[in-house]
Amino acid sequence: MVMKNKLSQTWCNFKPFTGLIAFLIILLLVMWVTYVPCPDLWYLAENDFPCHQVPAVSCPGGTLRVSRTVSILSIDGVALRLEDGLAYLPENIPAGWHELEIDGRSRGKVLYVAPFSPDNFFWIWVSDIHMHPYGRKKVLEKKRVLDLVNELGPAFVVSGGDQTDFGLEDEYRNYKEAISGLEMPVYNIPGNHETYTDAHLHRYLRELGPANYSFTFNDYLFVTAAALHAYRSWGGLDGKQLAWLENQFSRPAKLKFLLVHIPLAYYTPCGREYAWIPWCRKDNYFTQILEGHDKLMKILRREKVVTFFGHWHTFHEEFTVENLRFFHTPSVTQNSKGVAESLFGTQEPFARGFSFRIVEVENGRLKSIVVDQRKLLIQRENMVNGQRIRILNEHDYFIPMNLKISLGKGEYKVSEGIKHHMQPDGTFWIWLEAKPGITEVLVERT
Amino acid sequence: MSHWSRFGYALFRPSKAISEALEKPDFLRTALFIALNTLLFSTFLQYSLSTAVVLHFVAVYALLFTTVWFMPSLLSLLIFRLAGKRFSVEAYLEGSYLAFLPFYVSLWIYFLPATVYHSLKGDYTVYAGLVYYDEVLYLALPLLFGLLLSFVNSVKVGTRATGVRWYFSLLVWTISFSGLYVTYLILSGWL
Repeated sequence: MVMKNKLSQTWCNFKPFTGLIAFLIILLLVMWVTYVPCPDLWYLAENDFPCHQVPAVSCPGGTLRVSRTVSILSIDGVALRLEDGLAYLPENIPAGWHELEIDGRSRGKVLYVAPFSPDNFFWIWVSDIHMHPYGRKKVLEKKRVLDLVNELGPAFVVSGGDQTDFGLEDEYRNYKEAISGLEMPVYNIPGNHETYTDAHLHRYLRELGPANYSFTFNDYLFVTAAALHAYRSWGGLDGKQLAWLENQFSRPAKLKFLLVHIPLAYYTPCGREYAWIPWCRKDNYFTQILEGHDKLMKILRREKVVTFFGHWHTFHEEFTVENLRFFHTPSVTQNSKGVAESLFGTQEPFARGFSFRIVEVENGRLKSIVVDQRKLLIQRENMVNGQRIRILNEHDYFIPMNLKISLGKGEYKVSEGIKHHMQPDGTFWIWLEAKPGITEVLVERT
Repeated sequence: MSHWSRFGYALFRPSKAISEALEKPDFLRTALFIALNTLLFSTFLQYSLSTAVVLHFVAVYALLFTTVWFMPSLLSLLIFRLAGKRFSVEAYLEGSYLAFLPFYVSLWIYFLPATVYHSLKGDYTVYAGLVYYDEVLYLALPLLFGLLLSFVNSVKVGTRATGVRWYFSLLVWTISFSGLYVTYLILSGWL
């Protein structure tokens, strides 16, 4: 009887809290049931490269790496010399897109011949475009940044994740419209905003293609890794992905690049908003890729890999951690100043977005700068006997550019830069480093 | 006063609502209100931010918003108990939830009109407005005001429920607001 009374008393004391406890338990259960720990991200099979979503890129006189199982490779119907999966491009091949035929089957126009030399080129990393589902003016704002990227004429562009806000179909449609003006290949990797759920991830794969793949530009190796956990900002790599990465990086190359969305290694003041999260802390740096982090760093150290990432929007720093180089790039999308910055002033030079990174490679050496679209203006004015190009560079450093000139057949002289890669239709490119301030380039028919 | 009307009083006459909760607590009903209010706002927030609703995120947001009130309340309750104060836990928790109601309402103050405005105008989503177009200020101002009001109310709950001096309650609640670190971890670590 006493026992029963005691139990009844305990229940009476406990009863008011059952509602809240049940609510919290249900929330945790829902989070657990709907959570996918590490989605099975799609790998591009070696035999499927190149394809429309992951094209090949090379240059006149350069090489093209394909699967070792390929026995015949032709460009525009002309067979190439092929040795152990390495095809050699002729010196006189025109720049632009070419149809590729592998073992007698056409893959379509999946080879881009860039107007560069094998050891002297630049590529551009754009990241965190965050396309909206609607809002015409805002879509055009982002397109302007990408149009400037196209004007600079890199060998290729890497879109480093968070192409959309929430992985919605309308956002992908707008994203594709924004990149439609790019003449060179665009290599996409997913960000956390594309992988909120399995359904989101599948939509990404459908819209933009595989998440893990590699490609080369002559002797330079580029490997993308979708180091993502669904539902959250944290990254992770499972055993399968690590083994795949190890295999990719074991290939010989002059320089090896890892392209990921989530920051792999950094130190403050960058990413300071994550500094208070205990599981981000390593001995002398921070990371946001948790699962598989140590093994990945070991691979990167062994292969001396240079890593590029995005995700934070507002930083432009380069980090050196354990003798490895890591580059963060600010976003294409506009960023709010935020409450603190509104009150105390903007501190980061690229915090407001509209930015991208140019990565210049010269005989195995790497040089990289960040460009703010609002500080670089390239205006072209057609004249009777040529074209006047006015470049306004408000950065305090030189910016490399490879300007395409298509004025028809004829002989031209240029007042600035180096004229190169003359095409049969009269098109050529001007390589120049635009100095801070105004640069005028006159292209005149002789 | 009916049980449900105390939620209305919590906004306009918080002292009366707190007194009512401390005198006649019914935390079971309040928990129902907490669950409904949090789930409704979390679902609305999901749609408001992205024009899509993902069940997992509804649960994460609901947990996030619950911790804003729950963690500081739990921490302050433990400190008062450790200080040797005897009081009704049920009344204390209910009173502290009512104290936090201005904070929860302040969230609606931005999100409801912003959703309607951007939907009608068709310019961009509320997420884009917050992250890229400085609208975070319109959210931060009512949020700070709501949090300040909630803090003052909470100190009042501490004083009335435990009988301590106001400055002691102020100290306890100031320490207890460190419980918001859990909210920060969910916000930064999960979202």
